[in-house]
Order: sequence, then C-alpha cells, then structure tokens
Amino acid sequence: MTKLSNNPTELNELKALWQAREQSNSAWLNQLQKHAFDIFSSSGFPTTRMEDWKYTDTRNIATNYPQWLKTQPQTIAHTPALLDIDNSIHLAFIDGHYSPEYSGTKQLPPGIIAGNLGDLADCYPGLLQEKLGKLANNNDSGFVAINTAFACDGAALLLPDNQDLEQPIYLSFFSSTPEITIQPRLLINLGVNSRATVLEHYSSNVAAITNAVTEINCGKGSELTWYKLQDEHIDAWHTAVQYAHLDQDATIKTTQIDIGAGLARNELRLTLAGRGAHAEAKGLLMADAQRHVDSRITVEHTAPETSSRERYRSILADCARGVFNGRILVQAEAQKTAAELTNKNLLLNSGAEINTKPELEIYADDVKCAHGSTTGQLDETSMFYLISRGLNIDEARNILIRAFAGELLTDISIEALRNRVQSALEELEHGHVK
Amino acid sequence: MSSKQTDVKDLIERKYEHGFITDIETDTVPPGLDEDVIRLISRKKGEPQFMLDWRLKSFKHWQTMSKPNWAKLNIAPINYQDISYFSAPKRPEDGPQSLDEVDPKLLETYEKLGIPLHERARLAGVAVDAVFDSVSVTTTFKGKLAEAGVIFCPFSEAVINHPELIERYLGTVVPYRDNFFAALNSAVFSDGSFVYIPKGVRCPMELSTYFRINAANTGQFERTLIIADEGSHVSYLEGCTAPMRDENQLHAAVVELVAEQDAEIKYSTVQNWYPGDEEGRGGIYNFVTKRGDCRGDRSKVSWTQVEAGSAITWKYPSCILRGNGSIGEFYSVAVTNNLQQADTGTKMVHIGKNTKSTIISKGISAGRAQNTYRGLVKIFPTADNARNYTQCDSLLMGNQCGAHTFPYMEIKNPNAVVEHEATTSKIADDQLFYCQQRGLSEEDAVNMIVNGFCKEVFRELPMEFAVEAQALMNVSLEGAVG
Repeated sequence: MTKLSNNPTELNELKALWQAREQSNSAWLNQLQKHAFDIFSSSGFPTTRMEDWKYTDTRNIATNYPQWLKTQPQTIAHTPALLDIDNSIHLAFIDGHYSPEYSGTKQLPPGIIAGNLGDLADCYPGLLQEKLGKLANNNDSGFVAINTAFACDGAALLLPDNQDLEQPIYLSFFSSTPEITIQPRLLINLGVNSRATVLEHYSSNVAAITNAVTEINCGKGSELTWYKLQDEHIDAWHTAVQYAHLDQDATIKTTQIDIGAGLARNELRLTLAGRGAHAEAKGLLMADAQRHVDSRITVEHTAPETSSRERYRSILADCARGVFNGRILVQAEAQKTAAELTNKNLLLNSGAEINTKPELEIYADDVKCAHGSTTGQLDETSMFYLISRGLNIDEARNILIRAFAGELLTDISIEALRNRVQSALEELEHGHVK
Repeated sequence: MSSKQTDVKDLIERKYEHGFITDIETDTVPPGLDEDVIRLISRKKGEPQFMLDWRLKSFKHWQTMSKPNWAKLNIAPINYQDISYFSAPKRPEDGPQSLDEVDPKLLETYEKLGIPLHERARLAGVAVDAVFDSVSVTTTFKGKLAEAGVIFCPFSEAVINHPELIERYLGTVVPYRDNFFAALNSAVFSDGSFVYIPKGVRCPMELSTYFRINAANTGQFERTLIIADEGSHVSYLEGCTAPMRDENQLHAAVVELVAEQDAEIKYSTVQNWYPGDEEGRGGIYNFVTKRGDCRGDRSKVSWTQVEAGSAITWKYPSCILRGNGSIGEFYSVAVTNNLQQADTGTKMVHIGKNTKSTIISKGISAGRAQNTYRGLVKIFPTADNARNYTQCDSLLMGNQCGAHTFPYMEIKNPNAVVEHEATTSKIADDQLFYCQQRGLSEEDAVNMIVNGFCKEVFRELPMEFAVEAQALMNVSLEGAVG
C-alpha cells in the first residue's frame, strides 16, 4: 500500500512539539521515542487509501492532533463520570495525567505503578525497559508510532509469578479540557500462573482526542480478564490499539464495548505464541446519530494446539456507521489450531451502515477454522411472537435488542460496567423507538 | 471410481496434458506496444473508425494506470513491451467457410484437446467458436443459430456486421477505465466471441468457446460480449488451454454480459491454462475482468467457474444487480497445486429492490500453492429487501500451502439480509480411513472426497463440462497426497 505522508504543516508542528517535549533521563526511553518519531515522520497518519483504513477517515484527527496536543489541562470543573466499582484498585487519569487525587486507591499495591513514563523509567530502571515498546509495532499505523513518540503518562501492572489478584484494576481516563490530545500508554505483564482482571475506561465530556496503546504479556499459565469501555463524548475522537502476547497455556478473555465517541477505532491484536494458549474475545458496538465506530481484531496463532473464539456484535441506529474487521491468521507451525469467529450486525434504521470483513488467512493444514457473519434487522417472526403475547411493538423491539446484546454481557464480572452498558442500551432503545 | 494403483511419484511427474505446441504458420506482430501497434491490429481486422478511436482512448488511459497490487499474489514484473499483441494462424485470404476448409493441423489440435468440433457439435448440439491465439478460427452451427435469430460469431466479425450493437454495448459493463488489465484489453484485444439473443428467444443450444494460446511470447486478449435481450435465455461455456513453456504468458480477457428484463445468462468456465511446472517455471498469468449487468427487472446472471490452471489467477466475475428482483449467482471451484497462486472471488452489487445473490466458493490448496477467496457484497441504500448468502469453504492438502478468505460486506440498507459462512479444514482422517477401509486407494479416496466437496458447484455445470471438470480435478491434484 502506498503510504501518503502527512500534510507538511502538521508534520512540522508535530516535529517542533516533539523536540520541545520534556526528555526523560533514561537514554533508552529517548531512543525508543526517537525511533518511533522517525517512523511516524515517514508514514504520517493513516489515510483511506490504506486497506486497513479504507472505511475510517481520520483526516479530522490528523488536522487537529498537533494543535490539541499543545492544550494544557485546566482545573477540572465537574466530577468525572466514573464507575463505582466495589473493592477495586482504581487509577484515575485526568486529561491524560495520573491523578492520585481522583484515584480511589491512595497507596498502590506492589507491582502496580502509574505516573509519568519518564519518572517511572527513572524509578524502576530495567523493569520498563524490558517490556515497553516490545509488542507495539510502530509500523502498524501512525497512531501507534506517535503514541510511542510522545507517550507521557501511563500505568504498568507488573504481576509476579503465582499471584492471584482478586481485586479488579480499574484504569479510568477522563478528558474534561476542551480540545486536548491525550496519549495514554499501558503495560500489563502477568507472571507465570498469575491472574488479574483489568478494566480500561475512557470517557470525556468535551471534544478531545484519545490515542491509547496497551501492551499485554501473559506469562505461562496465566489468566487475564480484560475489559475496555469506550464511552467518550460525541464530539470526541478515540483511537486505541492493544497488543497481547500469550505464552504457553495462558488464557485471555477480552470484552470491548463501544458506546460513545464521534469517531472511534479500536484494534485488538492477539498473538497466541505458546502451545495451548487460548483466547476468547468479545465485542459490542453500539452507535447512533452520526457516530462512526471501527472495531477490529486480529488473532494470530503461531503455536500448535492454540484456540480462539471471537464474538462481535454491533447495533447501529440513525445514520451511524459501523466497521468490523476480524482476522484469524494461522501460521504454518500452528497445527491443530481451532479458531472460530462470528460477527452479527443489527441495523435499526435506514441510514445506518455496516462494513464488515471477517478474514481467514491460513498456512497450516491440520486446523479447524470458521467464521460467519450476518447482517439484518430484527427477526419478524420473533417480533410477531412477542406481539401476539400482548407486548406492544416498542416493548417487543426492546426485548429483542437487549437479547441481541445480552449474550455478550452476561459474563461481565464487574457489575458497574454491566449496568453502564445496560443503560446505554436503554438510551439507544428510547432514542430510536418509532 | 476405479482403484488403480498408481505410484505417487509417477503422478507428480506426469506432465500437463495439453502442453503440445501446434506447428502452424502464424502471422505475428513483433513484440512491443505503442499506438502504431494498435492501429495495425485495428487495420488488420478492418475495423470501423469508432473501434480504433475507442482502442486509442483506452491505450491512453492505460498508460496513466499502474498494476493493481492489493491482491494476495506474488507477481514477477511484467514487461509489456516484450509481448506480441497479435498472433493469428496464417490462412488463405478468404478464410475458411466451413470446417472442411480449416487447417487440418488446427483441427488436430482440437482433437488433442478433446474438442472434436464435428463430433461435439453433432452429438452434443453445442455450437463452438474456437479462438486460437488471438483469432477466432471457426464457428460451428452458425446457420442453425441464425434461424433462431441468435447471433454467435467471432467478435471481429460482429464489429463489421453488427457495428450498431457493438457501439451500443461495448464497454458499458466493463468500461475501459475500469482497471489496469481491462484498459490494456480494451486497447489491444484481438478477438473473442459475440452473442446476441433477441427478445423472447431461448437459445436452442449451448454456446461454447475454446481458447488456446499457441505462439510463444504472445499475450492473449480476448473480449467476449453477450447480450440477452428481454425475456431471452442463453447458456454459454468457455474452456481454455495453452502449451507448456518456460516463460510466463499473459492472458488478460474481458467478458461483458448484459441481461435485459427477464433475461437469463448462464456462463460456465473451465479454465485450464498451463499452470507452470512443479518449480513454478512458466505458466499463464490469468488476469481477467468478468462482469454481468442485470439491467432489467427479474434478470439473472449466473457464473460457474472451475479454475484449475494458470500460474496466477486474478479474477472476480461480478454481478451488478440493477434491475428490481434481479438475481446473481456465483459458483466456483478453484484448485491450486505446486506453486500456483489464485486470488479469485466475486462482487455482488445490489442496487435494485428485492435483489438476490448466492455465492458458493470452494477453494482447494495443495503443494506450495496459495488460494484466496476475495469477494464483495455491497448493498446500496436503494436495495430494499436485498438478500445474500455466501459460503466459502477451503480444503488444505499438505502443510506448505495456504488458504485465505477475505469477504467484504458493505451494507447500507437495514432491510437487507446478508449472511456469510466460511470454513477451512483438511480432509478428515476418519473420512479417508472409511473410504480406504472400503477398498479404495488413498488417491481415489481423496478424489472422491474432493469431488464431494465440490459437488455443489459441479452440479451447476452443463453436463459435458461437469464430467470434464471432475476429471480435471483429479488430474490437478494428482500427487498432492501421499
């Protein structure tokens, strides 16, 4: 694919900002950021001429990125709309910066660190250097490269071997300063046989740009339950990429939910690199108005006897545009792989649109891989059944919409998250009952 | 199914059956491409001015384009100046009037190909138009077809005898600006078949064309145009072979189908161009643009293809479902062995209301081959109640090959129902065991399972082709197991 370079003014502005940024004391971090910026300089932001960005036009983000990057955070006027999660380890980031004030947990347990990446690199030499930027590939898109080049605040969860962390870790990112660009960077590292639950929550009440990158390492036999809730303001733009690498017998269960933003793009890249690794990925995408939500997942099987199951659903109302891309890639050495992907889409109104592409790319022969995709409206017979039982049209419709989404929500272990999604579902129903 | 005991090694070494070269004098234009070559082709064919203008316009546009590189194909660079763009068997000035006058060597060629024109025509009731290198050699049963009002002739004849039809329809389905290879074809195409079925006529027999590339260093650029007027019906078959040569040869064809109101076109292809040897030397580059336009209400276009040959296949027979209630179908079996690469599939573009499309694609990959299904289902906001069903299955034989599925679905109408299913697996050991336990050799068991895998597509083929396709499948996969 031809990569079109940036508009020169944007690039020059970014260059000036990058040079003026606060440098870290750690040479390796500076080197990492320089390398990333060099890649960004030649690739620029993605354009719709690129296959992976065919349906998602990020021109507006690219144009405003440098300007909004200059915006300094203001004092927060409203209490951020955060989830109330019982017994969680809460790390709050306001306008891209770690805020001990809003974080529920004053004293972070060992193994969990948060704050400015440069400071963290000074305090924990070695720890970060070993993992940071190892999974994220700056060549994947300009957004990953520029996140690496600028990343200032972030969090790291470094769980030692055989540790079972009962409390969920709640990472909230809230933007309240208008026209600000935030670039969170997260690192999750589970040691052998350890276990954790993590929720990334992105929200805002203003027009803002969020460009997040998460790197996840799951050690041998470990188990990670990972949620992401994207609940941004309708004028906000959100892009995020997660890289997860699974060792032998590791398990990852991911659920990503998109209910907000004017334009959102999420990309989850899982690599099953150890024998017996298993991934279960779920995604729910809800959009109304003129929102554009692009959700994609790549599962790469590189070791034998790995398995994965992906279930993604979208509900689109009004003139919303949904994009789904699910890719299962089985390398030649990954014999005896089982992979299965389903994508179901519900279009509620004329004007709503979905572009979906479930892909299989298979280089091993002893595999069982399947994908399926359906798009349609609510089933007439089911509607008729419910109406014949005395429900009115709206009620019948709501029940069916909730049932459609429900399958993905039942095993969410965090109640506050489930409630937030339920209420978003109700908003969608009420806004669009004919 | 016989249980012949053939040594696998012998099978692997078995050569491409159609790999002979016919020694006949040809009239070949030296390699190279510029406006003069295009003028020469046009002059040789005695074309009217509008054709030359169109060719030159296409050529100008082609020069501004670059080769598409989005397909999952590894294509060695092609030097378009090394190719000869016209090669015709030399023949008496008047040309043959009947089969008796055709160069006997040519007829021999067709006998070897298993298309005895006489026999086939009489027994099967099939009218055959044979295209040898770039020129249509003979068309059988012309008289009988004329009675029904059907026009079936070489494209070059149609340009002279029916210029009004050509001018009206040429390039309306695949415009010369469509893509790189279509533009090249529009500039240099030399011949092909032309079919016109008048209103309300059901074509009395199946129409068939055989294409063969014979001369070295030539490209074949044929162009087929089929017009089914209101309420008519036609079934058209196409087959192709080429000699074995160490260099790659280019084949860039364009097929345009126009189905008016209530018309139906069934287009079947058995593609068996030379696939190259087991080291990937030689073979045909098959870059084809095929598109059917369902212009009228309730019209139907059905594509059936068996893709067994070619070193590289780049082909997406499509349907533009413009008319309300129109139907598009695509049935495909693509087999790749050794170092063959195929990137093939279809596009179903739903524009009219109540349009329906079905896609059944079976990919079989063996040796070190890469087999890709790439398809697009696009539902326009106007296509109320559109319906699509897609099924893509891939079978892998051997651990060095690849099978890939890239289905694009773009849906802009909430009343549409679009379904897609795909699976990839190998032949199950228990199935093989069962067949072998019943006394079949491994080779026969595999053939049987593969044929069963492809059955949904084969049953769409006309009878003579179905038999050929099954045999072809066995030949193509010989040596793939063991």
